[in-house]
Amino acid sequence: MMPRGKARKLLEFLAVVVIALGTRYVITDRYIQGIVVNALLLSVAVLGLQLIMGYAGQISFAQAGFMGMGAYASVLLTKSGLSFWLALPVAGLAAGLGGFLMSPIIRLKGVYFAMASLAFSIAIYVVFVNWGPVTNGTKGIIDIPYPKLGPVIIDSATSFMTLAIFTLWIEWKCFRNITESGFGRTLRAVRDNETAATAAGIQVNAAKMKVIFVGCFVAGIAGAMMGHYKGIVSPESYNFGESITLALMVLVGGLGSLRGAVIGAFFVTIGSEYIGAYAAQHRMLIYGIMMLLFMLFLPDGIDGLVRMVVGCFRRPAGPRQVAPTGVSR
Amino acid sequence: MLVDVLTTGISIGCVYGLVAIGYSLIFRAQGLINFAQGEMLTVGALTGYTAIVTLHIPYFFGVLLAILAGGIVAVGIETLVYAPIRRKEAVTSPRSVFATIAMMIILANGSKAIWGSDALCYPERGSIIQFGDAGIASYYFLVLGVTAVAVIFLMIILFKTKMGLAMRAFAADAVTASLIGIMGKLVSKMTAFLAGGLGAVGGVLLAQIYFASFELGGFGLKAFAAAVLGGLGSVPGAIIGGLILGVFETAVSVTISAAYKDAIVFAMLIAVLLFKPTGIFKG
Repeated sequence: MMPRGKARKLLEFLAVVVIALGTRYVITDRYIQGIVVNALLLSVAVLGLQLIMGYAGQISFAQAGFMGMGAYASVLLTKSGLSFWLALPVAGLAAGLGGFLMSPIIRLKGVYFAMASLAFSIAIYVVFVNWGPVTNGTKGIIDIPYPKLGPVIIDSATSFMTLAIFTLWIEWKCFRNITESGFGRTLRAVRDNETAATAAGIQVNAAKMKVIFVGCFVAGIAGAMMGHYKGIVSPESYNFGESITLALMVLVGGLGSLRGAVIGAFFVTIGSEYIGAYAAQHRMLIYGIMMLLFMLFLPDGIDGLVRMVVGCFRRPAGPRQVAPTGVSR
Repeated sequence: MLVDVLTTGISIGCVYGLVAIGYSLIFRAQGLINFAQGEMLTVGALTGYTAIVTLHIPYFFGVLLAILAGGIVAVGIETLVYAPIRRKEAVTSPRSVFATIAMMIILANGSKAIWGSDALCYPERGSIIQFGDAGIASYYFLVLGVTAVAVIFLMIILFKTKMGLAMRAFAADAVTASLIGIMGKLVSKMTAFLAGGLGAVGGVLLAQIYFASFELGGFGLKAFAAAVLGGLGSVPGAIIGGLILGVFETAVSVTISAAYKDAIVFAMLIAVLLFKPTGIFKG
């Protein structure tokens, strides 16, 4: 029998600890560890984007820009001496507040919001490139201090893997909470029919802003961690192309599914390695083709495919025993 | 100086206008914002280059080939990608939006794969015509002339042919139109062909002014701003929006800053979307 309540939570926590610390013994190849860290950290940002796109229905091409905000914030703070663990939430806040800059455009619907977010992402990129004294322009920032946890220095793929797994788990629990709560229903109402949602009394714009804040916050966290992992922060990693890649991850995994965000992030990251090996110069073309194929044939992504396959194995409901309805005396 | 701003502005405005008409035609007929429309510039410019420069086909026929290429690509996309999705989902759904974006990415990067990343130049045409003090390159008149011909051609098709009538009927009320026997599929393909062809003309003209490359899609996105400015769905609005945008952008580039002109154009687009989303002329 499944343990209940507190026992269950404790068991789950222990399982995560085991996985977080133990993966390095299962995945021993350095190269693969690097890919896994990448995929995990991107998942953190993609989950945020899934909340914005899949649950609130706002198509955003600015997510990479918010990752960049978090990255620069965290890196600059730690270089001036602040502890990573304090810089991290500040980075998230910076990105989240950056999300508020999008508040004038949340009134826009669908495609128009997408275009505006695109303009936004270009604007952020231009700032990163031109704000030399702060961001060092296209040269980027290097010599980034590693996070320290007491005596432990987090400076290798394995230690970042542990950090990423914990972060992803915490984020997952929080997002599960959000999507299964009343607010989650509010979001889905907004996504499915804004007019009806407004008629039902939902403050649509406020809901959208909250979601954008959360989505950008985690993008900032992801960006910050990636910055410290890679050891360099430069504008190229946060341009429009990267935002498209993040959107692709959401689509590939399945729009509207939290699981899908992580699946998509891993799928595209691994696929990207193959692309890099055989056809690096055609990366965007291949991403475009992937997007097209999924939109044509697998609009619910890999998660949708899995659910469909699993659905085939469910036993169909048998004939019900219906008591004859007699006239009651 | 003013003359330069006007000539450059109006020429680039003509290009924007041609692409914007495409956006408006498709939007009016299907409610779809086809992001791949901007890439028709790329298709037209590069096919024109291959025809005129590589294959030494005479200019006029090269342009016709480019138009054909743009039209065929557009019809292909409509038939193979948009129509199947339209059968299953609303045109504003994320699935449709991302399908158009995917096509935009494929066309741009596919062009890069085929033609490479260099800027390809068309041969110099015409000469400088003197107007008192000012000298205007004659190909600016070529741009104006070709655009006018293209628009007149479009108007003839839309208002003087049965197909045009069918297209207008379908755009006004698709359900009733199909009830009286207008074949929606054919009308959609025709609309796509016109939009693609017009975009391709724009591409050839743009390549004549600047050059041909896979990056021309950026102009195409700005043309979307022009279409919105003029009123999405209105053909005269698209042309006027294009001209206004062209002159505005050139003026900004000359007076304020060439580097930030794109940012200013996008800011203008956002302002229009926020304050007057129906544009100058109602769609």
